[in-house]
Parts: sequence; structure tokens; C-alpha cells
Amino acid sequence: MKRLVLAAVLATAGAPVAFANAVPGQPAADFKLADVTGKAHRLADYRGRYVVLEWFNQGCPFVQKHYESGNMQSLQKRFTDKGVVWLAISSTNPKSSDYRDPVRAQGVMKDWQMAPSAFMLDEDGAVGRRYGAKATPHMFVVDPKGTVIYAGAIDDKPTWHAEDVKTARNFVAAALDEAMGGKPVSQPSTQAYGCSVKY
Amino acid sequence: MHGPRSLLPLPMIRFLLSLLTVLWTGLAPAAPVQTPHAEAELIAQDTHAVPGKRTTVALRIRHEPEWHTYWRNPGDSGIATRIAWTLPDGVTAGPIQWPVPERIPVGPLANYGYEDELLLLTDLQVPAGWPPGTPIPIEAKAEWLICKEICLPGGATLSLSVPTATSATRPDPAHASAFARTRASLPSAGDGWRIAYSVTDTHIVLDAMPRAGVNLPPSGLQFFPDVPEVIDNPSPQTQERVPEGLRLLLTAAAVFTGKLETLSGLLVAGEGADRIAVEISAPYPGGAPKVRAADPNAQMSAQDIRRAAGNPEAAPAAPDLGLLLALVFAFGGGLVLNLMPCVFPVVSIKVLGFVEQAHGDRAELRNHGLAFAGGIVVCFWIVAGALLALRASGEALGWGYQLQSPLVVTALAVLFFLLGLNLSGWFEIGTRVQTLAGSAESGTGLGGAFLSGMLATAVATPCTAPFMGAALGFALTQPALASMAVFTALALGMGLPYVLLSFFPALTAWLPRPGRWMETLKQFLAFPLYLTVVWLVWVLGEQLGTTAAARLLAGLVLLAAAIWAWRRLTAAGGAVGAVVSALFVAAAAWSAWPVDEPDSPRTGTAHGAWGAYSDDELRRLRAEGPVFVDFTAAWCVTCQVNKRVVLQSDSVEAAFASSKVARLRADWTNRDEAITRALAKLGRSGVPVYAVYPGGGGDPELLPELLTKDLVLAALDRAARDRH
Repeated sequence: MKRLVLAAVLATAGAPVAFANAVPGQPAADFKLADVTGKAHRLADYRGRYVVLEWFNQGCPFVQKHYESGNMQSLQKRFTDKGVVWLAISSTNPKSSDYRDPVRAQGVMKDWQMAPSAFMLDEDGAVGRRYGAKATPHMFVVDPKGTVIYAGAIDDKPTWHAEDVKTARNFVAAALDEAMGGKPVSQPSTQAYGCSVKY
Repeated sequence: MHGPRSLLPLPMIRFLLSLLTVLWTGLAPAAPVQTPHAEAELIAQDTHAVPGKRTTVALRIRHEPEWHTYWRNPGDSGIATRIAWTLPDGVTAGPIQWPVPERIPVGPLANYGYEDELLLLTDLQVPAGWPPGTPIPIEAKAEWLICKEICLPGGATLSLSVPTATSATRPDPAHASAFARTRASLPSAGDGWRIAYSVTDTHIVLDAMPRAGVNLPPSGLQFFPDVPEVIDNPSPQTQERVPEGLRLLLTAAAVFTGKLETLSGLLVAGEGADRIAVEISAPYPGGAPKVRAADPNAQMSAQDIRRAAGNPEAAPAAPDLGLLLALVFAFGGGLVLNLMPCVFPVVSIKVLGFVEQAHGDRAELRNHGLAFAGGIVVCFWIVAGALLALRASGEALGWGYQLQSPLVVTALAVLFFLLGLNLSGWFEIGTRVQTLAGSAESGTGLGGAFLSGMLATAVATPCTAPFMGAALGFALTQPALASMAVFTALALGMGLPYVLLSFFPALTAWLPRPGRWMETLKQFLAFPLYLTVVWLVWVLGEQLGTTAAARLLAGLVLLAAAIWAWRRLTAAGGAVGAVVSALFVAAAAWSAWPVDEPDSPRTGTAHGAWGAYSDDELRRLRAEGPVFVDFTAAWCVTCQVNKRVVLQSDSVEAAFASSKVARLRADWTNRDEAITRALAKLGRSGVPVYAVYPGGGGDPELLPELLTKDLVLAALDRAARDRH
């Protein structure tokens, strides 16, 4: 409560949005973002379906690892085919050299053969901050009830070596498989690895 | 040089071996390797290694300005630098000896790493049988992530030929200063240090008692955890001095589950040559803070700290920021008090007063506003002064205590009843009682405004507004001056709207023009006052029973009769009216005067599924499972609203039943030492407080003062899950 009031005080003083965290077991904060083609998406619109949030930055070697190995694209295809909504989000600040505007982001999407349901830019970083997205890739899974069921790394091999993908345990796939099979997620929270999100 | 090995004498083999080594190292350069944004090199500390002894080598990374690589725990992102050694048989490498890292803020995140020149030291054990004179070929495959705004993977395969000899080693002058600098920045083992952790609602508290002879500087202490996702990396770490050493308040990471057996890391204090850096490790008591780090700037209140210490006596010096924050809370709390249900009747009277004054003299209006605010401030001072005096005399007291006195309840009921009668037009007297509540009669007007300010305060206190409790608890545990400051801030917050209205009459422009409607409004405003009387009578009933409530009601009727007698009979013959009226007043006083004889014990009894609170009962129930305690009082409106709307709702009742969380009600309607102590232990001095005590042991989870069904259901769910 104290914190809430403090936040309110800060908010009236015009302070920036506090860095919050999406914690497994808690409701996922709703947000609305336009994708690189200009279409708006609201998280709440996908109530009733599993949603994967993938924090993306094409300039990050750890993200490149999962795209150059084809790992991320195959995960995207595998789960969107099962009705999962996969939202790739870039919270890269437009001032960063890693920033790509919507047109060039569409180019990246095509070149890399990315296959998410939507690829969206969170230019002011508000969504990333609300979720506590720290790294690229930082992964979140939201269940059909809108509850966060997984937050953390994509797998258990914190390297930028593409060959490690083959031997890694993929936490996102495990969480989705378990949850869709009606089982509790065995590892709902891990430490995300990668580059810092370029807020 | 080719031939059967048996034909060659041993010295020859050695010679050939060393020749080969030289050739081999010649192929793999020992020179610095240029990598993106950094230069890397493998260097040796000493001129040569001695067989059978250890020797130190280092991976040196010279970063371009502003680029950094990472510590063993990289923080919110990044990867620790890794070295894979390729060494001759018998030579073994120890772990990387990490110098003290820097905390590198990256937007809202923080990393732990290094900039500029970095030496990662590694000890090599040279086998005793190594032929002296033969260099040791070593190869390091190093990998790191180097970041500025963007990140790049870095790495190099580096090699070095370490000469050997049996003579005593000496530092290689080429690298002596770099090694010396690095050694100075290596943490030492924390031998002789005593480290303890505890958990509060929001923080992990680290108590460090240094080895004898070590004096920690008063500020700048930092903890670098070995394990990720335990503390919130960018949050400021607040330092407190405790009797034996220092206490560090670490905001817990949002995802920290508390399931940790030991917590280890680096404790760093001071700067430059005076820097103290030790590796510490201590058993972690388990448990994660209840309130997670949503706001990295969140500070901890003094009572949290004291609670964390589990020792209310060891009061640390309150940090200035804590006081400042308490003042802000108190001011906000004062503002909100104007909206609380128990102030509402007075506010309505005030508004009426302003309506009457809006067409009057501006300067006088200002004076009235200031006088009203002054009344509030003085009343808070009186209460604070009394509280401090009582605290000094060792009384365990809590906010709202004045309504625990039946006499005060009775007096307020009488006062509000009279005010109500006056508003209803039942009587008009020369000096209208209403001036108490802020009418604008000249002369007595200022005093009236002042008194009405005091009255507003007296009525407001029992409604411990959400979050005001903390500021009050803080004030009550602080030195007298700090307490007075907090109370003053509370008072100023409450008085601010009135002062604003009186100084900027433009703001009152929205108020309608005076007219006949005012009489209507005045009469209507009597009803909130009557409702307040009903509430006060009910409070008295809860305190002393229905007989006492009936006697108070009878007293009120007799009071009305006294006024009637005065009005009817003074017209006929002054003396008779006065005497009859006085008799009625005496009868009213006799009837309403609360006699402290409860006809039935009402507090501390069980109500349905809710057991009565006692320390023993709480202990007994906690042995079986989690316990929900409702700290409440009849005179606390917020408590009653929560009880009716949330706690007694079907869904919450059902959740209590299915979750098997035991229920206790701590009724503080009358003063109760045990409940006052229990509240103090929670860092509170008023009600409502809702605490969920986990089964067995551990700190209770406190729920907000304004409950919602979802909140309680979620808390019950958590409590029920924890027991499995």
C-alpha cells in the first residue's frame, strides 16, 4: 500500500514508469502495441489462448544464435500451428544503433524468416519495463486465463553458440507443452540470459 | 633428429622438448590480440615458474572506453567471461580470481562488470617433476560478451610460454604494476566476519559484523550477490548502523522465491586504498519478501527494519530519507483524511460555512481558513504531545485510543446530537453551537473556525486512513522532534484544502449563491450528524453493552427535553425555565454518563468461525496451519466496511472454509494490551490491520487496509499453498 501511494505520488510528479516485473502466477499486465505493419494488438484480445512474449533485438548475438540456428523460427511455427499467439517485441530505444524503424524491421523479419504472430516495436520501452524484460531474448508465457506461467530464459545454455541449441533444454517449449497437457509448469521462472534490453 | 628414442640420452630429450616448445609458442603469438572493442593478452606475473609451486597468469582485457565485460554474476544481462585452459599434463589451473566488479547501470537495469583494464588472475600448479628450464606451454580459449549500448561476443585463443627455473621467482617488471593493482582489488576471505540474513516485507536484510579491528565506513557499503535473481540489481542498497556492525537493506528481486540455502557474494565498502572487500557466505533463513520489488526506489520504513531485526529495542538511527518519506506519507494521509467517512459530517459543515462566507470579506475569509488549519495543527500537536508524554511514561498506546474511552464517545455523541438539533432548527441560541463547526460570525468566528479545525481532527483520528498507519507507527517510534514533524505534516495535509479555498476564493466560485436553499441544505446536513450519533451510540454499545447504549440514548432525549423546556418556559418566566432545563440537563448527564460496568463482555469473544485473539491462541493455531487475523474495532468504519463487504462475503467465507486457514479476530474496541503489543510487533499502531500468519513460523503477510475480495482470496490461496 505504501508503495502504491509512493507510486501515485511519483506519478503525479511526472516520474517515469517504474520498472515492474511479470511474476509467474500473477496476472499478465495488459498492453496495446502496433506491429511493424501498423496493426494494433492488445494482450487482452488474446484471452483464451496461450501467448508467448519474446523480447527481440536483431543486433544481439544471443538473439542471432537462436535465429541463425533456426531454433526460434521453428519454435514460432510449432506453437503458432497449435493456436499459440507469439508476439515478438523489440523495446529498443530509437536512439540506439540497434533500433530499426517499422519498415526496416519488416525487412529483418523477412530476411530472418521470422514467424511470430506479430512483431511489434515498444519504442518507449513501457511494455518492456512493465514486464521487467531485462535481456534479449527474455521470454514470457501467458496462459489462456491471462496469468503469467513462465518468465525467463529461452533455454539452459547461456551462450551465443548456435550449436548449443541442439543440446539445450528449451524452457519455453517445456512450459507450453506442460501447460497445454494440463500439467503445472515445472520450471516457471529462470534467469534470462542475453544482451540487456536497449531501453 | 628423428630416431629411436632409446638411443637418445635424457638431456637430449629435454633439449628437444624445449626446442619444440619454443617453436610451438612461436607459432601461437603471445602478443596482444585485437578483438572487437578490446585487446586481449595472456601474461604471467613472475619472470618464471618453479616446479612444485604455484604460479599466476592472467587474461588481460583492455576495453575500449565505455565498453565492459562481465563479472561472475553478470547482473540483469550479459555473460560472465569464461576461460578454457589447454595445459600440459600435470599442470592444473585454478578458478578465475575475480576482482571487485563495478555496478554498471544500463537504463532501468544494472550489470556487474569491468571497464578499462582488467586482469583475470588464475593460479597454475606446476608439478614437482617438471624439468626446470623447460618452459610450460599454456593456451587459453577465452570467451566474453563485450557491451556498450550494443553487445558483441568476444573471444580469443591466447597462448603463453611460461619459463621455468628452480631459482626464487620475482615479479616480471613488465606487468608488476598491473598485477599489484589487481591483487589490491581482489576480495579477501571473510574469515572472522559474522554475517546474518533476515527477510522483511520488502527486503532482504544483511547484517555484517566485521572481524575485530576492521572498521567499516559509515556509507557506501555494497553487496554483490553470487547468485542471480536474489536481489533487485539496480535498487539502491540502504545502509544502517547497528550496535555491532552494519546492516544493508537489499530490495529483493521480483522473481526471488526465497528457496535458497546459502546466500553468498561480495561485500565491498570504501574507496581506493581504504577499500574493504570480502567474500561472504551465510545460511539463508529461507522465505522471500512478501512485497516484491515493483519500484526499485522503494525505501524501507524504520519499523520494517526493526521488525527484521526481531528486536524492537535496537532502534537504528532513522535515515533522513525515511523521515522525509514519512512526512510525504503523512501529508498525503492528511489530505485523504478529508475524504474519510468519519470526517465527512464535519466537512459538510465546513462547506456550509464557506458558502456563508463566500460573499463576505476576503481577508476575513483567509483568516478563517488559516484559523481552521491552525486548529487542525494545534489539535494534532496536542494529541502528539499527549502521545509522546504517555509513551514516555511507558504506556503501550495506539492511534484511535481516544475512542476507546467511553467518556469521549459519549461526549462526542452528545456534541453531534446538539449540532444536529441546531442544524435541524430545533433551537437557535445567541452564540450558536454551530460556530464550533465553522460558521463565520465575526468576533467569535475566528475562534469558531479554530475550534472546528480541532473538532474535525478529533473525529478523524479513528479512521486510520490506508497508508497513514505506517507514518503514524513511524512517528510513534521516533524521537520527539520527528514525531512532531510527522504529525504537523499530517495536520497540514488535512488543512490544506481549506486554506486553499480561503486564499483563492475563485476556487469557491463554483459554490452556489446563498439563498433559501441554504436553510434546506443546513437542515439536510443534520442527517449525517444524526448518523454519526448512531455510530457513536453503537460504538458505546460495543464497549459497554446495550444498557449503556440505552442510557446514552435516554440522555440524548433528556437533553432535547432540556432545550425544549428552555425555549418554552423561558418565554413565560425566566427562572422557572432555567431551573427545569437545568434539571433535565442533570438527568441527561446522570443517564448518559458511562458507567464502566459492561453488562456482558463483548470484546475478545468468539464470533462464529472467528476465534478471539490471544497470543496463545495464535501460537496454538499456527502449529496447525496458517492463521488470518482481523485487527478491528467497532469505532473503525474502514474495519466495519471491510468486514461486511469482504470478510463476510460468501466467496471469502467459502475460501476460508476450503483453504483451512484459521480465523482470529482481535477486537480493539476497548483498550487491550495484548492486541496493542501484537499491533506494535507488526509495526502498526492503529486498525484495521489484516495479517496472514504462515503456519509454523515466519513473518506474517500484511494485507492493505482497504480490502477487496480478490485480495483476500489471493492471500488465502497463497497461505493454503504454502502449507503444502
